[in-house]
Amino acid sequence: MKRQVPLLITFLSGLLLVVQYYVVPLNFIGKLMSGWFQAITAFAYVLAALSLFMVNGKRIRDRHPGWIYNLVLLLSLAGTLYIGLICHFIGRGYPGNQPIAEGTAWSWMFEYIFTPLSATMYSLLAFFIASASFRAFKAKSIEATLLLGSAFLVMIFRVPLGELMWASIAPAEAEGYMTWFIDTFIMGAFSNAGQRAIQVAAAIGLISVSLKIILGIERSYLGGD
Amino acid sequence: MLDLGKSVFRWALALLLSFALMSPALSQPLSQGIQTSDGFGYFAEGGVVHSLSPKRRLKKLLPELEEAKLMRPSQGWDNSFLVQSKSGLSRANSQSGALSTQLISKGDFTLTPWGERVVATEKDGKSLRVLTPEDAVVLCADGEGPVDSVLFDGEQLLYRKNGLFYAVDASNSPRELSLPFSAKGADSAEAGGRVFVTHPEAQVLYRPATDESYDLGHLAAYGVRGLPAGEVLAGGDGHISLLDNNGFLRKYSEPAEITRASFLKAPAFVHGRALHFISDARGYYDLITYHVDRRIAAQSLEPGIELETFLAPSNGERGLPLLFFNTEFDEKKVDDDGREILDLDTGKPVIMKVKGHQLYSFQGQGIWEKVHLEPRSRLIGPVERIGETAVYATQTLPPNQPGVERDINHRYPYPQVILRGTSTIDTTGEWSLKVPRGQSPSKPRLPEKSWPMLGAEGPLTLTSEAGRLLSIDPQSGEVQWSSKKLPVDEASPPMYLWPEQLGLVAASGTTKKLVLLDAKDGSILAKPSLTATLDLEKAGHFAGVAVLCLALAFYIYAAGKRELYIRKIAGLQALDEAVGRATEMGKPVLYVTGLADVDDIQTLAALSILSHVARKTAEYDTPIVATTSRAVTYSAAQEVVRDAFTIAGRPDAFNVESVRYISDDQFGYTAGVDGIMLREKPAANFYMGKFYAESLILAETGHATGAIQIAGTAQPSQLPFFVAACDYTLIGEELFAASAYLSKDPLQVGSLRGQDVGKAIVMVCLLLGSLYVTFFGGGA
Repeated sequence: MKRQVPLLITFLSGLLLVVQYYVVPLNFIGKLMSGWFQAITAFAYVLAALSLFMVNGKRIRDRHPGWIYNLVLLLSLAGTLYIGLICHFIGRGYPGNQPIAEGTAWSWMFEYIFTPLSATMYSLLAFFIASASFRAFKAKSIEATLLLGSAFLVMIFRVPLGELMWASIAPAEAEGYMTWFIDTFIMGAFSNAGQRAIQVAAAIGLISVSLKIILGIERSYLGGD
Repeated sequence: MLDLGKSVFRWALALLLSFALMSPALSQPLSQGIQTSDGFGYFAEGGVVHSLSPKRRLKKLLPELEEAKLMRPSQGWDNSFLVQSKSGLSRANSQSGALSTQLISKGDFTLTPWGERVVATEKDGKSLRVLTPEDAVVLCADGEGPVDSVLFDGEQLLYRKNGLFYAVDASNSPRELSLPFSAKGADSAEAGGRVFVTHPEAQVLYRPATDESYDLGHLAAYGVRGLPAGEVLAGGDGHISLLDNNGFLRKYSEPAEITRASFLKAPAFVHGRALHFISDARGYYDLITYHVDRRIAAQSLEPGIELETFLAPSNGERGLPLLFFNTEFDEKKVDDDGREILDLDTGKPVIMKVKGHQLYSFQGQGIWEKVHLEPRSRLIGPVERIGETAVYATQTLPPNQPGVERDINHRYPYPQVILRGTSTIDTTGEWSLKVPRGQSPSKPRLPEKSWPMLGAEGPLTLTSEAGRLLSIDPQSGEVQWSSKKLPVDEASPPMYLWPEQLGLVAASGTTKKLVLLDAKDGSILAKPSLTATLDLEKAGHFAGVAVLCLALAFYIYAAGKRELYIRKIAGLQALDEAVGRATEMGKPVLYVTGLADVDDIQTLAALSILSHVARKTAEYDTPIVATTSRAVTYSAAQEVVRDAFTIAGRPDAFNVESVRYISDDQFGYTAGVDGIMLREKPAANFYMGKFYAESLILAETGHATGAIQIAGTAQPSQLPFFVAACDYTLIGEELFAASAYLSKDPLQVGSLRGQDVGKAIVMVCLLLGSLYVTFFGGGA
């Protein structure tokens, strides 16, 4: 029963969602189930928050190496909850304003703590791209050399420096040829074709997994047999 | 369990096959209120022509005519009517519900009824035609024009082509007009069913239909314009001449406040022997009154108000003109609990503008009186004269005072719409439709231009907030009838009126019905559906999915009969090796499930692989840390890992801290996972699921810690990053094939063969499509 009931629910839900996509009078089922998912998500957040408190609380209690980070996390969570939720209910701080209104402490926290931290994490990507490219672009074989050459052209000619270099060495009538070569040939043909091949194959794989899940053949996402 | 799976599969296969064989049920048509003599009604709902049979059955017709609009000028057209669509202008003929069409001309036409005839003016005046039930007379062919100033004077049609005026009478043959001045630069106007022409350098007002000339005694430099009650003005050279409906000419002098622009556009009317203009030339409204040869009054209104509508009686109507203004008032901003909202910088109360409206009525003798003022309310919908009553609607905000908690109606959170009527004869005859919420008119369903009327003098009909159709007497404001609740949502339902019935397109979600009501008492006669049961636009999509599903189903079915070969996938073969390495090193395994929730199939595929990895870690007694960025994924992953430990025979080894929820935020999650990598130094990292920009940050951090890394995603934009930074990468479909590959379940393995066949079908289609486009130009 522990397996059969979820499988039956999965089968009926999957079938209904497929049918409602094509049968217009049943389209409301999709919206209805989407609403149910939102409701389930709300309950799941309670479990997730409990997990956060439990995992991090235990590490702080045991003075686990790096426990200070766990403390910072829990304090940030509690502080955000207090400012965003509890302050609003007890009516202190922002008379008449919503907690997210411009100028509130919550807004300040978002603007001056959360956004810079997110931006910092995102900006790390630039360094990681450099280090990953350094390892990946090695002319170890013919294919790798072609990749290196293509990547070099795309990188150089996607910045003004490349256009400037090209303009200084190429005749005036060749202006735009390199852009055409990169946009139409490398990106438009090779890169695009490769990406679409992956997308088409992934879409077929997606249909396959969906069908197997609906039919109950694929059950490992429930924890195996 | 396997038996259940097989029986479910057979059942579903049968259902899929039945879908493939099912013929689509066509939806029914809709109309625009045209009733042909064979008893059929026609209308164009959503730009598609529909017919309504005498038995109230709907049928969709002429699907090739996109964005169709229907028009029939009179009953004299018998079974014929006109259809303007993207394809052009056509004449349609109904024979017992069967519709045949004949293209009159390509192009976009404006159709104007002219007695039994219709005048069709092509966009930008490119051509002009007169249409009869049987014929189409071309007055100006495409390329001969352009045509403008198309006006009607009784039985005569006047128009201007290439600067010359032409007239057309009952014979439908045009003749060039002989004007008492140069046609070049001449100006024309229509008022009260009469057409007059003048010239800025002439002192004559000329009516071509009767060949009458009126000597103005001054130049008509400002041109000519008509007034609502049918009078005609010709102005310029310091004078304005007025020709009344009896043919008498009056002259007003010294109109200092009147410029050419305000002469042509400013609201104006005649009362008694006085001419009145409402001018905003000075930045606020002057109500200027001229008597013959003298200006007698100029009443200025307060600044900051904006004229919404000027309502004057038309030719033959009684009543006084009305002016409707929008205005604004300052109020302290108060929240729902009655607390004053304070400015966060100054600590002072925030002042906000609230809209209001005011109404002026003309009292004669150049005097305008403010007869109605209401703060916190704004005019919405049309302001229109119906008979002797001006009907309008306002939306009034509830009082919002400091210290008073606002009573919020959660069912109808927006301000109530109040329909109002004001007599134009005297200002004492006012009514307003004050009814409980739900029975008042629905704001989203209010008309934009004019009130829908069931007859020339009413009643007018509106949809209430609760979805009932109301019939309201415009003279008294009484609700004559209220229909049963209709299946309407917040959209504006178009309505179609036939001689004995009213059709309302009730849209609810994605379904539409034509609700037919008796126009006399609002009883529902029928509710035929306008929506197709099957979405035929998705037929190609359905066919493609059905073919792929059948291929998959066939190979799943055939899989049990013989062993199928599966090519080796290095990334999946390395899964066990990676867990083994972590075991040897005595370090944990890190499993990252991506950023998507469980409603994304990539996350489900990731959970399937997690099940396998968790089982291996349980067997090898190696710690696993699975991180999630979504709460539902966290719950599902915890169940998956717990069950995997149970299946491995090590339920006691399961640690609830093995599965961790980190954060919903993309980079918060990334920072959390990076922290785990750096602090706990896992020996094997798995990245499975949907990833965005965080993919390389995670993979590079993992690379720096020296862990063996296996990634899998169907995001083409993130695959290069994983390929560069990970030891093995599952590319697109390999992620979805992982569960079958790892389980070796014959049914699942069969699905892999089905996927390959699906890819072969797609490749053949792509090849054929490419050849077709290349050699036959199909793409162009």
